[in-house]
Amino acid sequence: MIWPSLLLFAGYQATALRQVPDVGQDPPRLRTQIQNGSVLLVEPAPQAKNVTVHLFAAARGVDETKTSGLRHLLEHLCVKGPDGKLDERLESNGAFLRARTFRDALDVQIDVPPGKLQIAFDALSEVLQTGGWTATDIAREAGVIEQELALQPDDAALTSALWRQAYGGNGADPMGDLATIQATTPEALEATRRATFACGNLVLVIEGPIGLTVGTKQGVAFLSKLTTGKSDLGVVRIPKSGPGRVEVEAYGEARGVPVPPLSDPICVARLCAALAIASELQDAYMTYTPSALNGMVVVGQVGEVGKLGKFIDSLDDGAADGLLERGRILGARWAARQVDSPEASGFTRGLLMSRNVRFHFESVQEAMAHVSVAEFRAAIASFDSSHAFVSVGLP
Amino acid sequence: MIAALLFAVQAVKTDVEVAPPVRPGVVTVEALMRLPKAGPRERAELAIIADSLLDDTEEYGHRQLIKLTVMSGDSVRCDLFPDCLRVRFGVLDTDVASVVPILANILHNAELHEDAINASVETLLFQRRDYWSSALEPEAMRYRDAHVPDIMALYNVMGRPENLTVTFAATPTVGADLAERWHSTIDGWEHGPSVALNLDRSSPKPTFRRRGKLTTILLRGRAIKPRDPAFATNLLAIFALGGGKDSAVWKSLREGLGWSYRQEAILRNSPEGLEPVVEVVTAHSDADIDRSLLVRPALEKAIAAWTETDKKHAIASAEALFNRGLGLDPLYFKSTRGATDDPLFMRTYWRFKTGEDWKPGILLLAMENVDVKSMQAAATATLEGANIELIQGSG
Repeated sequence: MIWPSLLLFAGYQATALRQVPDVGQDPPRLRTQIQNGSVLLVEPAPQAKNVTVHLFAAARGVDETKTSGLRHLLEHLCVKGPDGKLDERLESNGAFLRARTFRDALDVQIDVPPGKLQIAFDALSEVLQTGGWTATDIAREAGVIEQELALQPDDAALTSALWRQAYGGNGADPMGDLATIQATTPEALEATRRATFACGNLVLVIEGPIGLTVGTKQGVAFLSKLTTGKSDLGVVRIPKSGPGRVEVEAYGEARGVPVPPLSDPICVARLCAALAIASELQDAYMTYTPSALNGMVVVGQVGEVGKLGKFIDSLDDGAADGLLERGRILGARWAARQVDSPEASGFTRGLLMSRNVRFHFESVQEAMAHVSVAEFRAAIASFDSSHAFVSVGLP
Repeated sequence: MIAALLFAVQAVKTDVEVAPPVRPGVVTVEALMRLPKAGPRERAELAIIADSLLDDTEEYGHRQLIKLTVMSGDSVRCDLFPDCLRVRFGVLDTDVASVVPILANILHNAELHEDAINASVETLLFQRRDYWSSALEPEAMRYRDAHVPDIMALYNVMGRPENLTVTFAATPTVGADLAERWHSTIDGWEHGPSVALNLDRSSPKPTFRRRGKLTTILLRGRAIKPRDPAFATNLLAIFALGGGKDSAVWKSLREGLGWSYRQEAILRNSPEGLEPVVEVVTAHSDADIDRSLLVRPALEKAIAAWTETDKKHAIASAEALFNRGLGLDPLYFKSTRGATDDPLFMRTYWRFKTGEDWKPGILLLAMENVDVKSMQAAATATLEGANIELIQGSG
């Protein structure tokens, strides 16, 4: 089912509460822009078992070509709360916090039992109040990140190498560079914190069993308390042209093609093509993080080397035509999965909104089912070795 | 409501159940084959069966099986666990007539040609296992010792009706029809008296080193019977040891010792029951052996200090997981992965393991009645009965 795509827009601080429209029958979701630059999205999901709250902090304020990993370090430290016991308080109340750092934004997700939205706001307030870390705090957490980096699976290493080939420093892995993280000063981290959490970078998403009006009122009240802060436009990622090839310390192989924002038909067609290719091989996978910016669609296979590339290079237009219907169906299913639960919907919409506040996901779902023969052929061809970026594990 | 849709069909020596559809328009099948007792050679032979089972059956080749199932979102797959071999696939509603023939072909009519078996041996010999699975299943498999007649004998034993647990996830009418057709199919199978297998009695040889940067430290306790009256106490102890960021492994190992990023306490399936395991993953260093000796004392100290607050946290973690799907899942019934996010697998596995329905609400009630001293005693017993298993990375 395609959701009606009604998005209502309101834009005030002091008067925001009065301006929440009484529409009789609630629209599926409501977006509200706050005067301090932050944005709120509320999407009721009466059947959901949790209220899920995301705070996305767009990465546009931090130039990671020079500070690779500082947002990741910030993520680790800020979610501890001012006294280091935030998780303890949340979990004892049946609530959970999860934080992730992406190229486009830092995401703090808090799931709380129905009726306990205030717990999430209190926790987010704590996250935003942190700061003042010492060199000892940084050194300790850098040790934890060193352990985290050692755990990176092969598919992540292969994908990361594809991004570096296509985008150079602008495609740096958000996990970061350990030496940079270890050398971080308290002052640099504080600057990253201020830039990351500037109001203009913040998108708050509330999903779950909560009324649209109530959720919006509470969300507006929370965001309106934050001090105004501006953010710059951020770096525009421009990919190089393929092909390219790099060997990686991992096991497996992957091919990546740069794509324009998810709303672009080229991105949609390449996603369908990647899914169709991956469906042909056991344990092959497709990776793409929804983005309103230029990104990367990856097809990979870990555990085997050679099979994937050979298969892709054997595909001609006739073979592409034979995969088209499957690609459309798998693409439509992929798109549906991105928003088929409150958790998924909140993540996808929030991440996309963090870089384009008006992103309309429903048009992507629609486009998946209508990829043309020509678009699909071109998309399949984009993965061959004369066009795509390739990363292969060392023998 | 959901309960009203469910019913069980019990034929002689066969366990079949109908469950609600996993997704609209799709029929999904979850089937578990009970493994016979196995020595090291049989474990290798079972791995070969799992790898080659889908290659060719009497009526379907591998390509056909993929083609029939890929559009459902549940491509046919086969996984070997310590106590069962799992087959899972889905088909679109329009292909429902193929469900029972596919299942019968896989569980009873697989060809297991010598060529396919030899190819599997070559694949498995060079298969690269990740740090997690090689830690939990450290035995070095003797694939070269496998015998084709033994493989067929094992397959025939596993495929006997009394060793099968099957769930059809479909609408009630379709599911009832499938269950009936499944029984008719089984009735037509010819299987003589159960034969005793000539088991390899040698001791398994664990691996102590692996390629790569990661070292794993395991404390593997004695298996718990899930129908034992003390199961709820043991489960609560597992949640207190490893359920979330206020658990003993997080506070004592990650935050306390500071040299691991991933540390868990889990219950893993084993032929004897469910095995409590504490696992710590750390980047390889010269201190590996010293570190492995620190894990048990650190946890014992944490357990000795448990109070009502720790019990409350463990209960809250269990409630969040069982009722609302939140938090870390310690039930590793998929051998190397948590299981509660897959309700179809969970209900089938629990029935297979206990003969009873999976009722987390009853377990939660029992856990609430456990006192702190009993929780401490269960956790202490787990650690006392555990051997330290260290697998060092090569760096």
